[in-house]
Amino acid sequence: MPIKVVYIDDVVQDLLKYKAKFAIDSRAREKFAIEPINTPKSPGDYDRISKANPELLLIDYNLDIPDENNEVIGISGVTLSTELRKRFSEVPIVLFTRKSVFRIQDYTKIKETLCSIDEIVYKQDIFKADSSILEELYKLSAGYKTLRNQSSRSWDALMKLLGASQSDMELLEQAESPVSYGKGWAAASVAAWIRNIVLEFPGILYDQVYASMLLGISKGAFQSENVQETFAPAKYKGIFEPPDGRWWKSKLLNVAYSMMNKKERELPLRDGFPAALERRKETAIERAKCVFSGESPADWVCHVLKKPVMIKYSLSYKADNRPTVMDEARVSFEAIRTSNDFDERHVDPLGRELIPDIRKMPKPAESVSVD
Amino acid sequence: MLIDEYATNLTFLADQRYIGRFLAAGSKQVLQDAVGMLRSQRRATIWKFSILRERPLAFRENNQRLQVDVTAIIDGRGDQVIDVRTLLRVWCLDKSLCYREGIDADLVRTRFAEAGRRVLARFHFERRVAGTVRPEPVYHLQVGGVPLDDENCWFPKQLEVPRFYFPPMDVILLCELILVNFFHEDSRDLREKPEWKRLVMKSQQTFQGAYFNDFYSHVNSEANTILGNLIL
Repeated sequence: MPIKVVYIDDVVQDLLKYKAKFAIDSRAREKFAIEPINTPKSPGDYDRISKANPELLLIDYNLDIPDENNEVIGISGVTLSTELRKRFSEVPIVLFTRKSVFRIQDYTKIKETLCSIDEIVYKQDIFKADSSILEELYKLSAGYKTLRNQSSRSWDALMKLLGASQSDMELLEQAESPVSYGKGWAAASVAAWIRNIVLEFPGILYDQVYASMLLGISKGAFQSENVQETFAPAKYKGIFEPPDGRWWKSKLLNVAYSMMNKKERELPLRDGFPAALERRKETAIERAKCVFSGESPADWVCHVLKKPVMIKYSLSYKADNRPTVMDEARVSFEAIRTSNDFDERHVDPLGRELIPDIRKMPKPAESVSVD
Repeated sequence: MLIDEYATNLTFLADQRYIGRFLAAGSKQVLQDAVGMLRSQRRATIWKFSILRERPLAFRENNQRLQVDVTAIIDGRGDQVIDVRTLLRVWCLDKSLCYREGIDADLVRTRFAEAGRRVLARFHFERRVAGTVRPEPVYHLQVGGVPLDDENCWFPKQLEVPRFYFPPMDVILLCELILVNFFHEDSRDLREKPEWKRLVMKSQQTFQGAYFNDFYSHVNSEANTILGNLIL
């Protein structure tokens, strides 16, 4: 069954254009049934949206063009989203806009602060050949549908939807969950928690970079078919599964240790696991290399460059408000020296004192005399 | 100002990213309260930083069922450190280590059963008391000392020696020592962090810089031994 999408816009040409695009695109037509609706101005207009029984709401940001009756809604898509969240509390809401009118950098953390918006999608990106946005919208809608259809709104039922083990449940409980005992949960807040905290921050679930670093191997080695097969039992299969995949840290450790012999277990995991893999596959495995020094195995991931780094060549980096149960964000010396995305304000005063020296210091490989 | 800088460093120390995760429940507050007291003296000429035995900075139990706590008194005048006295106690929560069947009295067993723990070792890092007649190094380590009754620690109070020459150890330096000795594996990541090293180095400079400068001159002294110089 395709997902029922209500697309709200003030520009009639856009309503028609995207209805046609959704119908033509081979990735979209099987998955989405789109109903374009002009901006709601009266209770009757909201009833019309309601009757469409939406499973996904796409809202344009800029809504200042009058309709055929010369009426204007008078509010932006962001404001409209709060009204729609009130009326459709269990339906995902996506701001569907253009880069020219909605600069995401002007609305940093809008998703975290405004619980009425689940995602922001740019019109010019959605149908790009290499874009995974349609797949993400589908998973967003499917996840909400699963939450909507839950008869039990208990913590245990939610954990079942995530596929969490007992030990992961304890960690998830510490991850600022919006579930209060006895009161159950609301779909929108649980969806935001899963997508913006549990899947977003490394600690309980890992993406490919973190997972490979944990195991002491390169991202490429982790992506190889046989390693992916080995760690398939550790893969996250719960709701809102991201296209690039997530793996339970606890299960990665279980699988890795189960492959190691006694001697390998005596080593730190980052040394023991690659050795176990090489013994079993009878082939050399590329290690996780520090982006700054080239040493291996690296033992953290640079928050800015998203590459492995040695802890000793990184500083604590408070770029977000992740729960303390999640892994600390750290920035590599490499990013401090080379990246425009590095923001010194996120480094605590102790680390900040070190920055001038970090910028001047030779790289470990460079400091070795070659003559 | 030394007070401000030290208070800031101690605030970092308590953070979850530093030793926060190694502390026993309530101990973060102990450190925060002591920092608050320190900050309140920033206009005073003479100041005192203290964490008392009645409410020590306690670490969580480690995997050998040992629990360490720290008390401290640091006196200062302006930007000068006048005196550093710290105590590290090692509590044991494992009955097999605390009570020797057939050797220890029943009272020890009863007391252990009541308290659930016992002090196995005490280490005083102190400065020589002014006017003392006993020859002791200016900064020294004394094993034992005078325990409180609830420690159930057996150590003859009369035994006040030996006193090993030892550099002054403030709370931050003691925390590093505790992590290395009692949480060796768990603290490996933390001890690798440049900002942690920076924190420890600042305490080294503040509390041990002068001691080691003097010590170095004693090493090169041709007139007296190191201990001989230190007990002068």
